Amino acid sequence: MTASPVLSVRKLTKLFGDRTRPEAVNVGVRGVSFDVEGGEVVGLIGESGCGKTTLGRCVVGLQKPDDGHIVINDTDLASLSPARMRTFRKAVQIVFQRPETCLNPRMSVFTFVKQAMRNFDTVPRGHERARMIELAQLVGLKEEALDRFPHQLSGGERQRVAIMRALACEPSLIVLDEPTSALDVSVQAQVLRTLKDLQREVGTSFLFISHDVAVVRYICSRVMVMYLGVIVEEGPSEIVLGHPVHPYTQALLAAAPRITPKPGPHPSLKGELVLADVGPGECPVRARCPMAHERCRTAPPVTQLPEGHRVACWLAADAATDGPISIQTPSKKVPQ
Amino acid sequence: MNMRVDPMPTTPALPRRPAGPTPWRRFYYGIFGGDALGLAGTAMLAALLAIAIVGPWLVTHDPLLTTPQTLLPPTAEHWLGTDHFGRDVFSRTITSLRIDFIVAGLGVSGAILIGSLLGLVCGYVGGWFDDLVMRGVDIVQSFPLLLIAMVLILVMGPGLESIVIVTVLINIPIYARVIRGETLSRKTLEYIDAARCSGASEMSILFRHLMPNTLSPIIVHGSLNLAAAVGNVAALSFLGVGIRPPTPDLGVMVAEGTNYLVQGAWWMSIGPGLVLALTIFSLNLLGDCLEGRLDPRRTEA
Amino acid sequence: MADVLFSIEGLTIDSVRGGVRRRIVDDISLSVERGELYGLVGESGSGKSISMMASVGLAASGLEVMAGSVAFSGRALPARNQRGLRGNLSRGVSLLFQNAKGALNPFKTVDRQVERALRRSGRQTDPRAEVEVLFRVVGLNYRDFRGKYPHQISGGQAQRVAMACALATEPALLIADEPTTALDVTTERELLRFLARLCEEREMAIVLIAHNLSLVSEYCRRLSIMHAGQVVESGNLKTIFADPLHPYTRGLIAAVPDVDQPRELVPLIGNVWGGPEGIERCRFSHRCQFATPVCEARHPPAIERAGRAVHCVLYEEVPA
Repeated sequence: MTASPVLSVRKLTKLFGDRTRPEAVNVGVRGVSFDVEGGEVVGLIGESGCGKTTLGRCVVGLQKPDDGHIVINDTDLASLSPARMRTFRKAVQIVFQRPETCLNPRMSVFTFVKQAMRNFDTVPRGHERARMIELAQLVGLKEEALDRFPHQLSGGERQRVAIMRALACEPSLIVLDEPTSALDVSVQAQVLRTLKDLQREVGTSFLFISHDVAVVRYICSRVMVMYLGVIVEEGPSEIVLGHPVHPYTQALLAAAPRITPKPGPHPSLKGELVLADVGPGECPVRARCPMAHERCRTAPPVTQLPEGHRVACWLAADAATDGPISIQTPSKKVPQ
Repeated sequence: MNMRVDPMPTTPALPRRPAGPTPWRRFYYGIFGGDALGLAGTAMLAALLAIAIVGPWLVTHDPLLTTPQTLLPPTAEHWLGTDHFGRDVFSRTITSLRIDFIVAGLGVSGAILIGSLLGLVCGYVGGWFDDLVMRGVDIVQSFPLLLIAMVLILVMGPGLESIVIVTVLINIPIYARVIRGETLSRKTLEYIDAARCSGASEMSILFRHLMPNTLSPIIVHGSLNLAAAVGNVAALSFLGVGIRPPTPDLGVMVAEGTNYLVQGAWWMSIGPGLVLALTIFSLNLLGDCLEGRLDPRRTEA
Repeated sequence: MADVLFSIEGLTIDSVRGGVRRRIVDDISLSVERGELYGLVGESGSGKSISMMASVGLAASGLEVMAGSVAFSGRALPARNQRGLRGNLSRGVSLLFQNAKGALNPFKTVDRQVERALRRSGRQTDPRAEVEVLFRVVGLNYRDFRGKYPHQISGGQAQRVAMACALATEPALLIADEPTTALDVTTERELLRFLARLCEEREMAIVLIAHNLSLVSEYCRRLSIMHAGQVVESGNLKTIFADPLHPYTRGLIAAVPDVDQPRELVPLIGNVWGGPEGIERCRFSHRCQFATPVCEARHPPAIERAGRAVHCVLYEEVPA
């Protein structure tokens, strides 16, 4: 790839909680690095509490990372003064999860979206209305909805407005933080369709955060699986969600509800995501992993598999050295 | 095979078709949510306010004019009789109502203005400013209201302005606290973050996004608070530190009247007392009704 | 085989709000057998929770039960008699809600709450010892949870504690209203599997209310699908999933993204409550691509076909 990525995250760290015991693992993001190319839709999967929302908020600059770099269109967020930051926010936008609170209840849709256009001068004055009608069409809203207030809209319509607001800024990247998980399946299908068509038409990059593997599989071309602040597996979605290598990804996939249930036993995890169970420097999944091993007490290396598939698991590292065992695709070891 | 199943005859047709929303129904349910007491309180308050506003044209006598006909019982000439200076009690009651409404209203509005602004900034900014203001609020609230009011009036000297200022001061804490709480709970909501992502300035977030959404409890507190303030002004005047005679005031009139109760001049205090009670009662009814209507848990879509 | 434990017949509920009357549950019937995990599926607002709550005598204020009857363990009562239903069913029915943490008392430790539920059930045995048993039943280690307050445990654990409370009365029927919505997929699956096991081992009947068809697909044997207060299709789950007849059922299935074979999603159009009000009609007509004037004229009757009942005029007359 010659063009530089839209978003480039390097060793991003953001921890919460007890600062007096820095050795204990806290919720948050722990040294995550990844890129999002122009026009790409990248999924970020994980259970609640795994740090995916924190990562998203850091990327749009709503939270300050403790360490690491977030580079958007070749600009490091940390290097921006508060005043520059305000104008720079145009480049990266976010859509939140909860339709009840994502819109200002005292503002009509038009006013709420217009301020984004005004603040970033994306539309010449006086042309806001015309542009907004275009945007409304794009996200599947009726023109009448522009003059409504949030309580007059349904959950799905509010999420569409939130998407419209993000689009009005004309960003290069939109972070979608569980945009459909509070919606009914039927409405979710509508919004997902809209997002997919929209992406094709506008070409904006998406970072799609979700706990639902089926939704991510539907909309994303590349996925990252996050567990306790670390990315444990990433790669093209057909590979990661079709032939997962990491036991955690396998368990997530097996647990996903299906219309036609998969026969046979499912690989499953022990217990729940608990931070306290993880010791410093060990594989974060160890406490729950059905295949955990003495060796998992040290952090596994990231194994590079073909087609940009990367896995942080000892099993994959072994498979890479001993030849393919559980992995169908031929693999080669990449020195760390 | 021809399968034909008749509709089950269990469901009766809708027994009562919903009556079309007549203007009256729309008014009663849409605005009052079917709360008859709220409607009654509002109607009563509206009547009292109307009386206070057109007061100067309603009075039958000069409320300050003393005459030799003292302590007259109610007659066709003096509807509520006369007091110990021979002044018309009816005219004085109406004038008092007007004055008390103005004093309490000014005081409460001032408190709302200053208190909400303080609460908004405290909740949003936090830090030392928040600590400072909130400790000040604690101090004001730790004294009995009437005591603090009396001391302040003694310092500033009696007069209508002092009472207004005192009403403002003792009511600031209510609004500062309420608005601060509302601001704290709302400043982390997604639409604030969304506004920030839209490039909104801090001022715009504070005044366009946070403030309008924190104001609904003020309406409830304001109406209940106005009731208390009317009572307070009357109480201060009753105790002799509020509105000074000869300026008519409901509290003063009740106080003076009590001195003549033993002589059988019940009309001197019954009129002003009743008006005072009605005012406070109607404001409370309105406040309760508003509280019910504006409670977000009761107004889901 | 038809050992019916709980059945609803012709339940009809109106909501009266701001002086306006709306029919929100329209003549629904269903029956649950002993030891069965029964699915009740529909979009939010379709009236599934409302009808289940009303069927156990817990209709919310502002709702008026107009018609229908509920039978539990062979005893039938008119649904209008909410107080009577409550009295009759409170012993044998437990409820489980979406927000488990909200259902638990935040000021009491979880073991005390389970103990209290046991005491209220009024059985003679030693409640202390029973608490431990119940914790084990729901898969929690009693020693780890003794003395813990609801805020100290996770959502999945809270749901299990709520379950322990629900099981304390040894109910014959459990109504689980979207019990997994607040949980992660891995915990969700465990809970569903646990519910299925309860049915099998304890002969308990469970009504699982959900808005996502894929949640009920694995463990339920029969289900009803509701739309706008009407049952549109009900019967054996496998048959329905293999060959959905009602356009709404088809729409719901097509709206669920598939993990294994991603395909284009076909969303349902419109909202649950759209279209003309106050007339007898198929309440799916305004969203249905096959709608005919007949659909707007009357509520389609239940048509028995291929092992299920479907309410749709499309299947009314089958050519010989």
